[in-house]
Parts: sequence; C-alpha cells; structure tokens
Amino acid sequence: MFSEVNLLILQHHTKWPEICMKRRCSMLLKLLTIVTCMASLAAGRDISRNADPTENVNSRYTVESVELLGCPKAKLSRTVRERIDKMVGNKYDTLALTGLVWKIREEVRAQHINVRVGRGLKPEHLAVRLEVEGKREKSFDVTSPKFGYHSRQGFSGELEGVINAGGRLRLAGGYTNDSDQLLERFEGFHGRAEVRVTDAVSLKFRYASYQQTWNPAVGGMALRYRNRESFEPTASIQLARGLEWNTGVSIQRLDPFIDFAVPLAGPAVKAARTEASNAVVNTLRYRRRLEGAGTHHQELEAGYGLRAATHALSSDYSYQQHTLHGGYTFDAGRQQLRVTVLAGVLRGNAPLFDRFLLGNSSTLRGYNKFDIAPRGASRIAHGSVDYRYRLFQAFYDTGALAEAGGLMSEVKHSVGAGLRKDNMQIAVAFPLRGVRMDPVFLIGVNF
Amino acid sequence: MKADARWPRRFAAWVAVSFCAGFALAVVAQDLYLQRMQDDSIRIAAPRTHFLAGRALDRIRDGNTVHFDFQVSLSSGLQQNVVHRIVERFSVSYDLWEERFSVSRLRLPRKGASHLSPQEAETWCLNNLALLAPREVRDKPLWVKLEIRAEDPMQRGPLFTDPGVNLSSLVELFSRPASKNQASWTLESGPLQWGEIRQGS
Repeated sequence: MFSEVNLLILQHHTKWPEICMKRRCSMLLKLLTIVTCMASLAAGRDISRNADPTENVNSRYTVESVELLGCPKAKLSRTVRERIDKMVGNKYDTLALTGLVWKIREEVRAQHINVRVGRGLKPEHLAVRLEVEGKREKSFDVTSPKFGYHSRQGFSGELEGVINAGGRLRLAGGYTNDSDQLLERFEGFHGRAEVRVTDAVSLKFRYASYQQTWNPAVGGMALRYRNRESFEPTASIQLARGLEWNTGVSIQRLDPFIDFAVPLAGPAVKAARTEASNAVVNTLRYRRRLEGAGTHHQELEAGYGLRAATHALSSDYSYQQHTLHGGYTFDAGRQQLRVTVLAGVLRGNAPLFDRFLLGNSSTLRGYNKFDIAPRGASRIAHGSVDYRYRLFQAFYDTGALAEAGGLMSEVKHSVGAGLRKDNMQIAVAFPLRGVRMDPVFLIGVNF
Repeated sequence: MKADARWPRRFAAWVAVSFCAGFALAVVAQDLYLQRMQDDSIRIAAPRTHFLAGRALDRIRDGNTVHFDFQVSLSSGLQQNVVHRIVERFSVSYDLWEERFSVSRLRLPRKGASHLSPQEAETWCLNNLALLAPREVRDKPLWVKLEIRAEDPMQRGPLFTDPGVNLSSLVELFSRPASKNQASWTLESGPLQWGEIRQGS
C-alpha cells in the first residue's frame, strides 16, 4: 500500500512536498495523504495529471514503446504492467514516468533504474527503455497489505515489516486488527518466513497469535474462543506457467471463551480446555493473462481450496472445507469489467473461523454479515460484477448461504458505486431489500 | 631516528601539495568573470566551466530532465562575510528530435529558453543569475563565489511547491556538502574592488 501512497504523494506533490522523499514517514502522515488523495479523487481531479514544473521538452512527443530490461515484465504487478501499457500512445510524461520507475524499483527491489529515451521509429515518437540495475540483496520495508473502514464493522488493518535477506529468504512480522474477514474481530501479531528453494518451489512458515472480540449477535458462548494461535508450514510449487499448488498443514490452538460470571465445574471445566483444529491445506490456483490489441487484455483466474481437519492429526474438530473461485477481467484501457464467482461447501463440525460468511468488504457489499448469518454457514454461493470507467466504479453482488442439509437462504442482492484508483477505493453500497435504503460506506486500500 | 630523518621529506611533500592545490585554485578562480551592468547588478560568466557534461549530460541526452542548482554569494571586507546570496534551480532537457537543449528557471518568475546549444544553455543559466551589491559594501574588497550542483539522481529533492521552488530548501541544499554521486563546481573571484569590475552594456 505504501508504495501506492508514495507514488500518489510524488504525483500529488503540491500538497505534500516534504513527504515525497521520506519513504519511512509516519503512518499518520501516510494516512493523511490517503485522505487527501481520496479527496482529490472524489473531486474528480486526476492527480496523475498535475502540471509538471520540470516539464521536459520532449513532452510534446508520443511514446511509441516502453521496454523493460534486466527484469521480466511478468514479475511486475498487474497495476504496473497496466501503467506501462497506458504510456504507449500517450504523450511523454516525465512525472508519470518517475512515478512508474519508483514503483518498479520497489517491486523488483532494484538499486537503480536507468531511464533511456530515444527516437522512435515513427517521426515525433519516442522509445522509452527502463534498465533495471543491481537488485538489492537486503532490504527492509514496511507495508500495509490491508487497511480500511466499513461503516458497520469499523476499522480493519494490517501493518507488516518485511526483511528481504538475500534473494532466497524473506522474513516478515506484523500486527493485524481485522473485523472484516471473519465472524470475529481478531487482533494480534504474526510472523512469517519464506524460503525460495528453487525458482518453482518455496517453503513458507507462518505463525500468528490473535485475541478475539465477538459481536453479541454471534451468541453461542460454547462456540467462541478468546485466543487463537496458529502455525502453518506450507510449500508452494509452481506446476506450470500460471498454475500454483500450495500444500501444508494448519495447526490451530483455540482457548475457549470463559464467562467468569458462571462458576466452572464438571462438564464446564472439560469444555474450558484448549482445543485444537489441525488440518491439511491444499490450494490449486491458476491465473492467465491474455494480451489483446493495444491496451486491451483479459485475465482469467480460478482456484480450488481444500482444508481437511481430522482426528488423525490430533484435532478436536473434524471437517472438510471445499472452496471454488473463479474470476474473469476484461480491460479495455479506460474501461474494465470484472466478474467473480465463489462457491463453497463445509462438511463436518468446523470452528467459527472456518465457516463461510457474506456481507463484508468483498462479498455482498452493502450488507452487514451479522444481519445475514451471524454464526456463518456451511454452504456459500456468491457472484459479483464490477465495472470501472477511469476512476468511477459500480458493482453488483449477489449471494446466498445455507446450512448442511438445508435449502439455500433467500438470495440477496446489493449494488454500489464509488471511486477507485488502483487499490484504493471509496464506495457506498446498498442492499436491495425492498424500499428501505440502508447504505454501507467503504473506504480503504486493498479493502 | 628514522622518524626524524623522514620529517623534512614529508614537510617538503606537504609544501608541494599545498602549492599545487593553491595554484590549481588560482587557475580555477580565473575562470569566473564578472561584469557590472547599468543597473549596478553583477553578471557572471564562466566560459571554461561546462556543467553540461559527464553523467548529467548523458542523462539529459537520454531524455531525462536534469536539475542544476546554482548559488552565487558576494562577500565584502572578509571572504567569510557574505552580504548577498542568490540561489536558483534550472531544469535542462534535450529535444530528441531537434537535438537542441531547453532550459527553464524554476523559481518565480518562471522563464525558459529552447533550441539552444549546450554552451548557449549554460550561458542562459548564468545570465539569469543577477547579483546585487549593496552600496555600503562597494568600498571594501569583494569576493564572488559560484557553486553549481547537478541533481543527484538517487536523491531527488522535494523542492517544488506552489508556486515555484522552495527557497529555504535550496539554501539548505548548499549548506550540505555535495554527495558522491553529484557533480559539483565551485568558482571564486576576488578580492577585487568595485571599480575593477568591468562595466558591461
């Protein structure tokens, strides 16, 4: 997120000149910057088009091609690849190019990127060449993979420090306070280590310790837990181009929620013991990008996840969770259409954190998850259509939940609109349920 | 005993180095020419100094915009007694199709020139540095010092605000030594009397 913010700060230098070069500036300043940038977006001002005080005499020429040397383009994020594509055919913009170079430098952890611009093949056209130099062997970065506000659920966020120790080892640790992803608000610290064994195989170890806060709507004291500790060693294997398989185990320890108003005796003492939920996890993901003419492209993604907890792994819970998701994106320059579907089945007795839910920042936007199924469900079906035109976005979500053996609940629908710039968005969403309009506001990054 | 025997040789070496450094400085100092204009401002010229050179020039020719920071200081009475100082930032870019340079002054009032040769671009920058000598200091010996720094590509500074360039940032920039990636030039002239400065048109 911070790299995005840094980029916006750079482009939005009229308001935050002193922040520009302080890549390690405080969280508060960065948040203020997000708000300022959001305000600019809301005002319909395209901040990437600020007048460049250092205007280059070549800005009257058109960019014919942008070539990246020293790093495969596939290693860059989709956003950056899109930015590169967008430059072609447009006037040479040094400020946009500086922002892009900064972003690439962060993503590929390069020491320096040389910008070489020469004459293009056509008259009054330019060929831009970006030469990535010297990969940084060791680096430290602070990122916020997720940060946002949901008007019904409050703030959710994650802050993570990442150390890249050489090209093969990455260590990360951070703090999470999230009320969006699960039925519980979980707060605590996590750490992870990633070791790249070969180009196709990497090992990941993740440890987390969270404290839970429960919404009264969840009820069911026996289902709740107050602490959750997890350890997940997994291996990630690149089976083919775009196809990745993650496999490993998830070891979870749950400390039961104790109501001190009730004296513990007999079965209550037994119920108060620490529980384990140990499962084998497998995920298969496929992603493919199809380049079209000009800036047009399509992207396909699909995945299957299996989480199987069994007594054989000394687990107190025994269940299998199957999830299937798919997505299709059609990008035509200024316009983008994205369709996603999600389906899942849960068999057996699963703890609350593994139950399905709808009504958060990514599913049935506009609903409150506690109004749909406060304890989650064991069946899920969800679909979503997002349309974007430049900064404007509109979306439609539909979904339903059900319990095992029961029929699907009433299918719910919601619509919303807002502004989105890369991973930052501000939106308002409405549940479609009769005449009553009860909007939900969403604002955040990767949220 | 051995240490004592070495001492005169070391001393001689230091004297030689100091002499050479002083001589080089004297030669460099002659590269700064001053001219008194009709409005009593002082124009400077450095025909032998070419800051559009080396890596900075390579970057400009590669289509980048490169900034150059200039500081001119006027001292009176003593060389350390600075009575007037001006700082400016110029951006230089190179037209890849017309093969000519373009220069802009970034402080207000903004102005610029295009279709220039490298020498014309350098001269344009220096011509836009007008140094004013207060009347009360004109009867004392004067020193003029010109410092030029090419922008460090690794540390692009936040000098741009609305409107123009942040003056305090430029002054602060010159209070720090140039970084190892930064090309810099220092030219000095003086001591000289007000009347010794050549009158220009």
